[in-house]
Amino acid sequence: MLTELAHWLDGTVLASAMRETFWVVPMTQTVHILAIAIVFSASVILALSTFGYFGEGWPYARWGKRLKRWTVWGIGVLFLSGILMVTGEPERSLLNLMFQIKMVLLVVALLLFWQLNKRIDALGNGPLLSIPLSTRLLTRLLGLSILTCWIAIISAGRWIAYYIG
Amino acid sequence: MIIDFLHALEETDAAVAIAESASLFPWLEVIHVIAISVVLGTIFLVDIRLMGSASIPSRISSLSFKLLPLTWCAFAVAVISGAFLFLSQPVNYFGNFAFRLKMFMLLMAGLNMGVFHLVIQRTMDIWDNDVIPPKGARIAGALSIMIWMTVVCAGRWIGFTLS
Repeated sequence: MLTELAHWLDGTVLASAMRETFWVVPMTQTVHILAIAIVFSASVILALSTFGYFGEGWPYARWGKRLKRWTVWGIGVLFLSGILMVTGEPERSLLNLMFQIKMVLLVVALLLFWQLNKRIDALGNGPLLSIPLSTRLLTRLLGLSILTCWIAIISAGRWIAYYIG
Repeated sequence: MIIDFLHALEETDAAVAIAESASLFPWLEVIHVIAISVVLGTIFLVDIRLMGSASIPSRISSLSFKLLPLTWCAFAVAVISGAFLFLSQPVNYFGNFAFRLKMFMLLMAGLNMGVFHLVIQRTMDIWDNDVIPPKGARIAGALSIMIWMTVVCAGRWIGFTLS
């Protein structure tokens, strides 16, 4: 089924347009990297703030809500630029094991992100220590897991270009 | 003379190892991308605050004080991983237009930061808590975002133009 989809995408007008215009692929990759910068940094800051790295002045309850908006926008841009890159080279991406691993990890990251934000949304803007210990530990675990997922996703993403099969 | 030096670099054990290994180069790229992501993301947050966005509720000084250590650590990792990537083909990178543009834009980013630090930041006590900082600070923030975008764009272009 993936093979058929790849063949179909390969035959679209958009795919041939992308093959013929030199700058579209590097430009799309640039946009993709800029969006990764936003999403990844937001998750680094969020994970660190669950450990109190930024001090009491930056309760993660408040920052989590701010960073969520950044992350959601970033992921939106990643999706669009990602779809464009897949259309440009469908067989090299869709049928690539690294790409498939990346997509599975992405689903895991999004599920963890949703769970973390559910916890954060329920918090008030009070100091870190006013949050129950169990919630603090859980948000730390979720924050670190999300970070690990993004690192794995970026690694798999870069390896798509090198892995054959 | 530079070319001789680059040729000598190409002969080093590390250069040969990276050039011959099938996995060292991609892994260095992974490290480079992750480091650059943190550099850009943290700088963009400060820049957007400088440009007058109300969505970041923090004093500019405390925002940069807390984020800049992250930026510098990540920048160090990006420079080291970048140096190893360069080492794989020093002569080719040196002659590549996109590579030179990237180095030039990095210099511009440094210059912009220097001007901000030495001139604009001197009066920061007055506008530290303002939602909309003075014009100079807003311009520095906008310039920084544009320069760093060009750095990424030129960096990605290297991979498509390296002979």
